[in-house]
Amino acid sequence: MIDYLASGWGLQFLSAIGTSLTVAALGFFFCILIGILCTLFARSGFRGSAGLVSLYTYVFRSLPDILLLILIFYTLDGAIQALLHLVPGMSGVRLSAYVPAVISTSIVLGAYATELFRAGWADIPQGQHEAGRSLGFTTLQSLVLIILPQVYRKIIPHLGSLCLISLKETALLSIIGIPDIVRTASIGARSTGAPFVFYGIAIAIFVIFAILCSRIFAHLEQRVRQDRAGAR
Amino acid sequence: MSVLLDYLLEILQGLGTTLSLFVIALVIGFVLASAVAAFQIRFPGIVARSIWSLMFCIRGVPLLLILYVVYYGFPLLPFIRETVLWTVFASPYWCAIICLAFVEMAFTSEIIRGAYYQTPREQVEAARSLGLSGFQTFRVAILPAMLRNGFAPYTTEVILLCKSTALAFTITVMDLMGYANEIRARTLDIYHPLLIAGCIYICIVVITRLILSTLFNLVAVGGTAPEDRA
Amino acid sequence: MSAAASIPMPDKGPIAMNDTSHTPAIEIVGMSKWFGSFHVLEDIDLKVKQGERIVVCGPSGSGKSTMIRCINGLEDFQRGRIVVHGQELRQRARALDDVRKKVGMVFQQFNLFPHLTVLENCTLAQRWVHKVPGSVAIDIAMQQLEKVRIPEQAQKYPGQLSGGQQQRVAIARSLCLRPSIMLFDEPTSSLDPEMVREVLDTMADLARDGMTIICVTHEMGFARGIADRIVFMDQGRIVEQAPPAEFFDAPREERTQRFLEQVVR
Repeated sequence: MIDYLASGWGLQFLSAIGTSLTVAALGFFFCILIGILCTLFARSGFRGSAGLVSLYTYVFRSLPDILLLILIFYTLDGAIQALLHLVPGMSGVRLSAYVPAVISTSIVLGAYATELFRAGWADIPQGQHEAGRSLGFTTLQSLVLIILPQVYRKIIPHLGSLCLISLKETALLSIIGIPDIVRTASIGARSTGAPFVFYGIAIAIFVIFAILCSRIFAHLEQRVRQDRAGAR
Repeated sequence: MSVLLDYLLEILQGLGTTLSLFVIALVIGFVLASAVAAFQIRFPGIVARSIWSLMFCIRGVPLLLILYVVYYGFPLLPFIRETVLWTVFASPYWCAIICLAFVEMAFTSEIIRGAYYQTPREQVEAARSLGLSGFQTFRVAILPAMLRNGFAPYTTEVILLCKSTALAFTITVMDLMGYANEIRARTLDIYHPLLIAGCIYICIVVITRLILSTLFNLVAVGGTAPEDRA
Repeated sequence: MSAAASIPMPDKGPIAMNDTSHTPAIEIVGMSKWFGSFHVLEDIDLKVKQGERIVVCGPSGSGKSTMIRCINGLEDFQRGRIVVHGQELRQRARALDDVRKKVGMVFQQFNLFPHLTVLENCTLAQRWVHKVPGSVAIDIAMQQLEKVRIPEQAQKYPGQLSGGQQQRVAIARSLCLRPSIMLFDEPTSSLDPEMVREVLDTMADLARDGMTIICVTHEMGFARGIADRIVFMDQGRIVEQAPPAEFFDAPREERTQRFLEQVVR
């Protein structure tokens, strides 16, 4: 195993880990953003806004992730390249495939995040909004200082699994050709004839990440537990 | 229009494969998960903890990677290549089923375990105090509560499994996604084949939800303690 | 019945005589509100002088909570006007923010922020709405917590306190913004009986300091002891208003008499 890592595959794996973690982190960040925005939109009271958001989550949670990824990835990739062509002097430039990769991952995960945030939001008593208003907070202040921290506390365990799903989701990008952990492992496995070394390393990376993820979120949950002691 | 119909007919050839992957993996996964959860509940302590850790690790690894390991890696192992196991692992279809069931086991066992530990202790104590046996207690007090607690997360898990079957095409299984992807590669038309396949997947999900909730209502009404019938 | 009943009332002279005494604290003129086709509030007229203490009572569903929620802009109304300290409160107007800075509100369900400590609950609005520097905000918060007699709980979370303590924190939280008017929406209705008294005592302290108070409550002993005027509402209308002695001993309206028979035994 050391031999393979020393002969260049070590670097390959490091850069693959970097790729996967970056895409996962960005996907996690943007899907939470999507979750918050969609929840706000659904609760905004515009005619049909709640239905529209429900449609998004229902459809996106019913379709296979890989199908959605391929669909969104190629659509975006085409659209972005076409847009670049319109900008003078940019026609020769090809935008990295990471941009559509991150966006499509975010949109797919965003459906899960939206469900999560909507459920967490619904648990917050109306009185909290009213208390915020009567103390003179603006809508934005009330959102950031009062509502979001409470939603966060309610959904921490689920955020942990969403974080893990984000990384697992990056594995699908290997099908599209992004050199992530899984793609690097399978190329290595095929070209060296030692599949179990390469697959073993890939599995180890995911397991380590899963353990880290659960430790971190268990710790975060512990930290907010104190205010629940003896809660009504 | 007729092109779309051609696509539809071609993709539908994969429907049987998708459905059978889904159902067989679901059943095997559930049986394994029940056994795993029962073991964890029956033997708390080191046994339960090590089983739980193993399941935790499986849940952390992407299905795609597991598919690759089983389909591309296992054939290189002599004890698989040279024994009767080869008849199973040579087939991408059975590899997919094994992987799906394996992952399903890891997720479902946790749902079953969670549902069990959410059962109120008072219910169990009440049943025991009435002189019911261990199995009767399980039947009357624990199982109904488990059904109630586990139904929603299990429905979500079943849908996830249904969606996961689409990954089988990566190891050359020709399911719905396999045919759709083949048309895409052949015609360079991304939208039509994938959207058609998507519609079929949504239909499967809608019907699955319907079946599950019908089953749940049947079981919950017919088989629970009398006070739950209202 | 209530401890508040025995508290001697201060002379209201200095408050009534100051220079803003000509503008009423709150003036409601011809206000009406509908929920869909249901007429919740019908032609409400109410004038509250500065430093005056009003208790609003009436059967449930009579619109009393809705009325005071309108004063704080938590509910819209369709007709009429509400003027707070000379500033008219129009629906969705900028003026609302100014009004809210002068009007504190205490809810039946306390509505403390569960994710913040008692002290943070009291400093949050000071720091973000009134831009008070941190150390000053803490000083003010501690003063108010001492006033409601729970400074020792400052570092605890609301979930660790009793209902009565939580409600007193909620009162302190409002007081930190130096409001000139306090609205109480059934502040003791969700408390265990043994905790009602500590909250009423706190409110009585406020009354003694000359705060303008409007309180919706079913605590008739409190009303008799504290209020300058009692407003009786039924079916979205103000049926009768009178000083407590007159209200309890010689109610004019038949509906008031019936209500009092049910409540006071």
